[in-house]
Amino acid sequence: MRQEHLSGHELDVLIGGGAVEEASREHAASCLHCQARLEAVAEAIRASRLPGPDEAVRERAREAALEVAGQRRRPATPWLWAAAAALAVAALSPFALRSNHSAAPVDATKVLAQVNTVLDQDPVTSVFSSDVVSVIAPNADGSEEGSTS
Amino acid sequence: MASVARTELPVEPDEEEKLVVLARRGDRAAAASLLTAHELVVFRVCQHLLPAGEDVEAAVQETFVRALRGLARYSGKGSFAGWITTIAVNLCRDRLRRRRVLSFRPLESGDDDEADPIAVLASPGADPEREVMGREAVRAVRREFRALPRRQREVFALRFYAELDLEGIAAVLGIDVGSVKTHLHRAVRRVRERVEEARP
Repeated sequence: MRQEHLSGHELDVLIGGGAVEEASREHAASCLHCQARLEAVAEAIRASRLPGPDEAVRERAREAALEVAGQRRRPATPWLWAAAAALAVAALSPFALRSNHSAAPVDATKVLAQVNTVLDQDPVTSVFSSDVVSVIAPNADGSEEGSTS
Repeated sequence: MASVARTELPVEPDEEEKLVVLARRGDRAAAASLLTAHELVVFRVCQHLLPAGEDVEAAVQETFVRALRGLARYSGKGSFAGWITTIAVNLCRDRLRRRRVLSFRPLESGDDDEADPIAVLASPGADPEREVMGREAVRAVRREFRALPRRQREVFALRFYAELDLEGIAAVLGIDVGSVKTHLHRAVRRVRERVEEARP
C-alpha cells in the first residue's frame, strides 16, 4: 500500500468529486491524516453554503412568476368556455327570432283576393275618406272611373 | 470521501417532458410543478452568484418568468434543470454587468457567529478551540469564493452550492467537461489553501 500522504492536487480532485488512482484512493481510505484534511475542507465548504429559502418565499416567487408569465389556471377553463357559449347564444338569438318571424307562411290566395277587392273599388276612395274624395274629385263616381285595369 | 452528492432528479424525465408540453399550452399546474421541481437550485445559484445588494427573490422570479416565456425555445435535448439553471446564471451575469460591480453579495449575514451554517460545525460539548477554527475556516471559504475569477466562481457555486455534477456544469456554462475540471481544480486549490491556513 502507498505510504506517502495525498498530494494537494489529489486532495483537490477528491474534494471536487473527481477520481484519483486506485493506490491514492486506498491510501485516503485508511490514512487518518489525509481523511482529516479532506473532511476539514469539505466540511467548511458545506457550511459556507447559505441556508435555502423557506417554503413561503419559494411559493411567493413561483406564484408571482406564474401570474406575470400569464399561465392560465386550469380550473377556470370550463367556466370560460361556458361563458363564451352563453354569450354566443345571446348574441345570435335576435337573428334567429327575426328569421323565424319572416319565415311565417303566407296565404297567397287570400292576399290576392284582398288586392282584387281594393282594385275593384275606386283606387282613390279606397285610400282616402269620402270627404277628401269629394274635395279633390267632385265628379268622381264609381261608374265613370271604373277600375284601373 | 469528500465528493458532493449529485442532485437527484425531482421528477422523472418522462413526467417532466409531459409537464413541459402542458406548460407550453399555458397549463398553470404543469408550469408550477416544473418550477417547484427546480426552484431550490435556482435559488442557490442566485443566492451565491448575484452581486451585493441584489434581491434574490426578485431574481428567482425573473428567472422563472424567462423560463416560462421561453418554453417554446426549450428543445428538450438537454435537461430542463440545466436549461433553467443556465437562465439563472445568465441573469446573474446580466445583473453584474448592469451594476458594474466586482464585489459579490456578502455571504456572511450580519454577525458571522450567528449564522446557522457555521453553527453546525460545532456540536454540543465540542472543543471551543476547534469550534473557533471551524468558524474561521468557513469565513475563509466565503472570502476566497468572492475573490475567485468569474468562471471559477460559477463552477464552484454550481458544484458545491447547486450540487450539479461536472457534466451538468459543462452544459449550463456551455463549456466542455475538461474545462470544468480545470476551473474547479483551481478554485478548490485556492479555497483549500485558505482553509488549511485557518485550521492548521
